[in-house]
Amino acid sequence: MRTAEARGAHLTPEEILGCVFPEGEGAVPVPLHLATCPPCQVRVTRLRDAHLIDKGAVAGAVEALPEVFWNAQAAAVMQAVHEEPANNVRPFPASLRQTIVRRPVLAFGSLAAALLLMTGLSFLRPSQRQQVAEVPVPTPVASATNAHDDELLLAIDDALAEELPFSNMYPEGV
Amino acid sequence: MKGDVKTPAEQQTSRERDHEVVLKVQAGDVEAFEALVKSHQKRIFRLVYTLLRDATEADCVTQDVFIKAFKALKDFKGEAAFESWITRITINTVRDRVRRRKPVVSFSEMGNADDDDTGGLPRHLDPADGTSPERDAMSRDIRRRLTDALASLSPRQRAVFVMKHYEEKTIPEIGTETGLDEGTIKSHLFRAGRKLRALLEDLR
Repeated sequence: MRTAEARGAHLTPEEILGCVFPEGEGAVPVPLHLATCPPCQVRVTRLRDAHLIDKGAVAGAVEALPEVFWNAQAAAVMQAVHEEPANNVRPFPASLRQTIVRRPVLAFGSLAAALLLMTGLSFLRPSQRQQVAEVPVPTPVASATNAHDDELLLAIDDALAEELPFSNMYPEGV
Repeated sequence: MKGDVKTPAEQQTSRERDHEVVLKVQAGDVEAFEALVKSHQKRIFRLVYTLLRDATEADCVTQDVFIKAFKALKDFKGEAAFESWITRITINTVRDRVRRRKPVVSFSEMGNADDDDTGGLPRHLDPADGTSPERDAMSRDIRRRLTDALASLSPRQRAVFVMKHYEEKTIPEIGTETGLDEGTIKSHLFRAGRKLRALLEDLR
């Protein structure tokens, strides 16, 4: 793009804005035309004035706020912060929340798989319960056998009590 | 705004102090957070006010920023300075606020009912005072157009433009505080400049 100087005309709006709001860093080269053209100087000065007024107005408005305002603001923040820990209990740990946000497909896929598994298990369980119910419970047959054994043990005890010790070990006729 | 510019040594001290307070808060000392609020509230409020031009809304957003920062502080690792980190939260909060309140209300429409047009500033503090009435009127008119033009920028363009030309930050500083790379910042500045040029084309 040809500059105003090259064209021998006044500064373009772009060049005026460039003088007041340079895009780059550091010192901005001033167009030579500006030094010799009072109308262009006025245009640049007006925009610069407007910017400085605006900037000063913003800074002044903030500086003019009383200390009470800042104290009240800090107090409001602290009140909210004190109420925060009780409400800050989250159902899931941060790592899980991050996983859900960063890899939603993986997270919700895993959730869907887990739900499917649980649903499958819940369908399987009732049939297993029926199978268990159908298994015959062993009858308490041991009670009769136990009585018979008790009688036998008592008879042995009686026989042992009546016999002398080692008497049956002696030879006949001794 | 340059009055707030700290020397590198002051910046270092300030960062170290912030870091100590952050560690205290992370260890469970909630009261220590007030020190961070007190130390950054003016700067945050000024940035929000420059972007939104509404003192009540700026107050709301500033409180919101600190509450968000407190909630997120346990995940703050201290890789960046707290100042940069909270500025980034501020920019994002303002951006969300601007998006939510569409259609955009121009800055000049948000002034006082008496059309003071000094952004809620008492007249005696207006820097335009003390000059000729014609120049005052001209400057006020151009300023109104400038603020309206700023209001028409996208939230991100506006944030980058304000940080550069109102907060007087360098491009690397803007990069740290917005998380944008240098090329993107320059692109936002270029587009902002193009929009402003279109809106101020008939400036005479």
